[in-house]
Amino acid sequence: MAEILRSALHDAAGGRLQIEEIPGLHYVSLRGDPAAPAVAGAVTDVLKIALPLRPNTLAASETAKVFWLGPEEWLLVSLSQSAAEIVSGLRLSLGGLHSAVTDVTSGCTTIRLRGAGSRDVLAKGCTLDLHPRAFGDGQCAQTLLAKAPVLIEALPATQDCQLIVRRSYADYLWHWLHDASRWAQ
Amino acid sequence: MLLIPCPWCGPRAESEFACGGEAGIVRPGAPDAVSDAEWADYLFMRTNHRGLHREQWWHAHGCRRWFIVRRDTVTCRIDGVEKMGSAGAAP
Ligand SMILES: [Zn+2]
Repeated sequence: MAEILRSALHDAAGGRLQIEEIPGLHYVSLRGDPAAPAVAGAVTDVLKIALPLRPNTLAASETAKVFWLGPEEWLLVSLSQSAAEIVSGLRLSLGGLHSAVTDVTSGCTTIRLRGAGSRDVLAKGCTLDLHPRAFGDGQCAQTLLAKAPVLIEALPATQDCQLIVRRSYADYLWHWLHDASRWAQ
Repeated sequence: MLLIPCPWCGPRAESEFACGGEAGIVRPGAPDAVSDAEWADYLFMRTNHRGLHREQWWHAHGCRRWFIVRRDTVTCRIDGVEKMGSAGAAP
């Protein structure tokens, strides 16, 4: 299990809300033509995950996740394998295919919201419908949260959500989340 | 605020997008051969159309793809969207 960089507990409107920043995950950006079997093949080879082709969805294993970011762009996040391993594995598998594999670990961090009030707090700064009937298991979305670009992931069978944000926005969002939680009382 | 249906991500708030102006502006094939007036027309002159207008939008904070929106400039009603390079989408 990943370590926690910082953690805070709030009594938000919908119930208790735990906010945690999780450092130390490994992030790799992949770009390529989804019509080329080698692209999905490389992801299956390295992470044992089927490449998600539907917009706003992700696919996951016990130790890694693959997020759809665009029609030819994905974000790979791993708990266990290092980004360097993933990058070299993907490049080996892709061979000479026109594609781009980039280690973006140093630019990203993850903030997790747990508790019944999670989506109510996010809704204060986000234009998406985050109700579980509209944003459920296996769904993700790139959008703006309080004007900062984020990738939101709906965590299965709960109100919980996870945000992948640029490291340079993390402090700002951390403070914004505190404030939004406070005023949810 | 406009609710813009991205051809990939679905309906999203206007704040996620950037507008790239009129669609279908074609760069002169041989820049050396056109007059200054023709070049200026390509660079600067836009129709500023009243009514149904085809314009380029960029889903800057979503899938980061450019696409074309058909929007009525009087009512702001969006008639439809096209992916770049699809049938009916001019360059
Ligand atoms: Zn989009």
